[in-house]
Amino acid sequence: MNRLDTEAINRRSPYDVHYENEQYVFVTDNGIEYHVDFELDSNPYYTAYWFNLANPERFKSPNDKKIPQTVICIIEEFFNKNPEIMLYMCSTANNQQAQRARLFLRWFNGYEQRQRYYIKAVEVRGDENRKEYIALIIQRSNPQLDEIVSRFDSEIAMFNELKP
Amino acid sequence: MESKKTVIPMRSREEILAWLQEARERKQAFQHKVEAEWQARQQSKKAAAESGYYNIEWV
Repeated sequence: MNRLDTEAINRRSPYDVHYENEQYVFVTDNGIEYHVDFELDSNPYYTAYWFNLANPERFKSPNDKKIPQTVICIIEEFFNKNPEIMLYMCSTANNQQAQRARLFLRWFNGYEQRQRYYIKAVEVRGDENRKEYIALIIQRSNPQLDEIVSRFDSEIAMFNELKP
Repeated sequence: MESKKTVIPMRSREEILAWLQEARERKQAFQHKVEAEWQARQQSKKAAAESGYYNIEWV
């Protein structure tokens, strides 16, 4: 993956983002750290990266609009440097994955350049009927857009329908 | 000239299950890594404070 330019991120980001240990890190006004990284997906048929967002202290910072704005700036720079696919799996901590999926979509849908991207969030019923939420984000300019979205939809539909 | 069209094969349920499991484990590993690094930094700061490092007069 091409490394992101933190100067470019910080031109628009409300929180200062720096690069440390292969992660993009920012600290909120409340002193809460957030770490972002992107990990290569194992799917051999197209290049995609999993987006990870972690908060080491697991503190909540509700209503801090600067957090989604900063995260969106990081994602925007990811797509500027990497014309690939981004995948996001919501954490299942406290069984709040559905709320996290809605929140992530709200963040992304509020983004002014949102029309440049196709975003699809799906519910996946895994083992023991555990529900997980995965989002696929892809630039509309990607020449494989239709095929990738179609394959993603088919696989998730098949997966949810078939019982193990 | 005929254009080349790539075909993305459909994965089996088992392959998707393994893919999801791997993604989940990576996500958890990232959270644990970030927490461990944060704890190490806190320990280091605490040790420095206890050793009087921050009270050294440099002049």
